[in-house]
Amino acid sequence: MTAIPIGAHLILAALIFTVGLVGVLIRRNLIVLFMCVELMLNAVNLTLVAASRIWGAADGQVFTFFIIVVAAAEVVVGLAILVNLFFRRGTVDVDVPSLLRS
Amino acid sequence: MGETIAFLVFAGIALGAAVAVVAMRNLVHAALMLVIHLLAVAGLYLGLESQFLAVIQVLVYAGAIVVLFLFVIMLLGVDRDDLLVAQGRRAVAGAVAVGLVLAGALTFAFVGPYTGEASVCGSDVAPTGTEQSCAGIAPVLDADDDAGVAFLGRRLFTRYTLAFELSAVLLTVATIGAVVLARRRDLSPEDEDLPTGEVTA
Amino acid sequence: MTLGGQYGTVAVMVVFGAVLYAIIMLLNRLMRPSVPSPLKLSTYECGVDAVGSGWSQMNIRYYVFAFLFVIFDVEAIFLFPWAVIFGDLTSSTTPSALYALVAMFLFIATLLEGLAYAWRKGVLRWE
Repeated sequence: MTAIPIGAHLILAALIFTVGLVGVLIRRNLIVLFMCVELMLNAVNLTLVAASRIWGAADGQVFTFFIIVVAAAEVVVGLAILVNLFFRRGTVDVDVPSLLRS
Repeated sequence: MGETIAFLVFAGIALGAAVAVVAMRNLVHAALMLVIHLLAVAGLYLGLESQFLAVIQVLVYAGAIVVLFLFVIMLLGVDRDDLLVAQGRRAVAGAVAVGLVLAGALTFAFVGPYTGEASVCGSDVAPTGTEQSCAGIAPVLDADDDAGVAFLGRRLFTRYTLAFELSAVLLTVATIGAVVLARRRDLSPEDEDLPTGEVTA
Repeated sequence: MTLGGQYGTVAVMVVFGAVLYAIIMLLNRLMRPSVPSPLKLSTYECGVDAVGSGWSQMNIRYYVFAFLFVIFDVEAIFLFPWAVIFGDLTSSTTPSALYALVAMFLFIATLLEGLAYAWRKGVLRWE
């Protein structure tokens, strides 16, 4: 077996991103949507780390670092909003007409 | 050889778990699959010479963010998810079609420039045409910096200091926002043990 | 083959653990008698039957502690690279020691602002 080229990581990241995107499009539960967004962010992180290795530079890893920070902030606020929404509407279904619309 | 096996194993687990996150009907199971996915990606980081990021991935993602997810699932008391998929088969088929097109386009872009013999990290095959060689991180690391921590720290406190301070602001804003959202009294379910007496400062 | 060398031991340990687990469970299965009965599936074989499901709703105030944990977990990961490089910094390096110190304390002070807000609003109180 030969060593794997770096492109394998990039293709894997593309596939994971696609799975996350399809999840966002087909699932209706907000919690699962958040998880799918995490999947997509992870795929981007994987790409950046692979790119950082391709060019031998730290910047990709620093970006990954900040993406993890942003993901943490996003989840903290997003889930707080979700809890509020659930106690108001009694559901986490994204297809239920929005309160904001009325 | 070892690296190839490790990549194949972790890649298989990561992709399978990602699909499971989307497909699982039980929310708790989906969250646990997300943990498996994140741990597998941490394993991939090890293979990409980014040990420190692998540790952070486990610490923050698998250790903290997923805990928060499980927390909210417990809080809402929705373990069973009956809202599996969107409106109908046509919407699902459309979404999958979009996904296939995206995956195909990305793979098409990567196959060739990044998948040749020259793109194996550390190989001395000269890249031809559009091929991209892989430099690897090892040459730019300090001699005593195995995990790439100092490598990252130096960038963090030179070129990216502004981003670093702004991320503190972002986290503070997130804290304040979540406190405001979480302290509404009408959201607390009746709880005999904890009277919902609250200080309004 | 950096990965094979460094993590070969770990891989061997994982495989060994898995094989050991499989052997022990298999031996267990081969040696034990099998007498299934519905009573064995109940939560408590002796004692009061459990009432309701195992699912209970949590109070939202736990969420505050959970997300504060996440925020300060993220803060901690920034401390690691800082701590590693800080020992080697002097006034003539890039970044200088003073610069790194001020930057990190500014960072921590900003985050403490959020904690102070949570404290002032009384969400940390546990009456």
